[in-house]
Amino acid sequence: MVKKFILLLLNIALLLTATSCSAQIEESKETRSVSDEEAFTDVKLVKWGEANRFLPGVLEELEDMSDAIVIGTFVGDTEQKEVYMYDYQVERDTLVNVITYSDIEVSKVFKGDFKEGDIIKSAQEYAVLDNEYVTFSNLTPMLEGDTWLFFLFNNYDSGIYYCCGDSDGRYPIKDFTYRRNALTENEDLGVFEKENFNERIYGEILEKYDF
Amino acid sequence: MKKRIISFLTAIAVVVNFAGATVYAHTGDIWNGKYIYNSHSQKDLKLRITKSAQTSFMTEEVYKSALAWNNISSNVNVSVIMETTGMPSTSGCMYVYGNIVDGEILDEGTLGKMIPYDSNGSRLPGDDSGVNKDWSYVRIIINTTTADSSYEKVSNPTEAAKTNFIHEVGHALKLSHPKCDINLSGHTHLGYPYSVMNPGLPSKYKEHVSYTVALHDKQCLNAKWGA
Repeated sequence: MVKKFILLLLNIALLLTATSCSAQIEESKETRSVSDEEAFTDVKLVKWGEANRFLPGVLEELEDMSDAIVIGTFVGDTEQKEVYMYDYQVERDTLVNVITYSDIEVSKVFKGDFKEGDIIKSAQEYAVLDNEYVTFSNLTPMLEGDTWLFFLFNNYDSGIYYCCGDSDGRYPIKDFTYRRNALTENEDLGVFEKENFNERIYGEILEKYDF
Repeated sequence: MKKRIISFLTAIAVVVNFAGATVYAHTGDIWNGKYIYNSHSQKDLKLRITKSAQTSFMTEEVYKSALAWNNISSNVNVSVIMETTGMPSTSGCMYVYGNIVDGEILDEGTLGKMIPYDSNGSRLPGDDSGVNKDWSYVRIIINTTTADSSYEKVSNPTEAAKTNFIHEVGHALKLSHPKCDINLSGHTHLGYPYSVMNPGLPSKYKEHVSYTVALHDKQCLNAKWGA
């Protein structure tokens, strides 16, 4: 009799837990700040190779690495490029990188020689090739109108800016509604895999930056 | 009765201690697929360091750090060949390149890159992530222009350069960046394992990045290619 009562209690507890988790998941979906219009629905994501980058450990290191720290809005892509280099294996040039160049309109400056309204030329290592979204970056592609906090370096003083440490160099704006992206479920973080979002540094950013 | 309880608790403690000391490799940190040709595979991974990859800083000492991957799996053997002027081609080798001064091959913040190809020298096709496909060969590109400035930021520049190359060769052996997941065995550093395959360089803020092949790396290598 006692055993039956204990089993009954356990079953009730399990039922209550499952209901609670389900409710939390539903609540999470409802409060997700992502717009309904979805982009990149007609391409497949292909992570082609892997890069190792100099990465910041804390916000102070990230700020030190940055030539510019701004809040900016993605205006649009300007050019997509395939980069080739001689390959001794097959004795001809083969593809070594894919880059998309974009314009970002500055709305607020924390560091760097920019002012509100300036356009920054930025770059990210991805391209759409043959219905595939090919990438070396952990960052999702930016979509028109989306606004981010950027930590950027001026690549070899070329005037083209990259995000420091790739996914360590771009962060979401609080309460901003990001467009849906079919390539990821993490549009509001701006990364394909949630583990690539630097929670530690983002926590420091929220404490220090007014945005 | 007291003795029995003490013996029981001691036994539990031994089991827990043993279990805690054991690190298991898992598929989350390994890419799928294999090398298509034995002549270009992990069994005899001959890395030819082209002249473009050799500088006063990136020396034979740095590149031979990749030999740390040997004597772990009987199906993995790495060797390093420093290219000299006029050296004839090396059969079955894979090449390591420097980016010289080209910000579009590697940007200033990228220490190195590993890129797999099919037998035609083309990028791998879709349907699945390219890194999880079967590879014909790989290219490793090392940032020789940024080396001096990036490595200045770390306490031991030469060791950091070695770490980066060991890391890139690890990718050539189908080891991925470890997942950040505290539920994976061995991932005891805020969800990461202590591993040379973690991205970035070792520092006081990145204590989970190992300077060389660590236990977790060895176990992943064995899980991938056999003991």
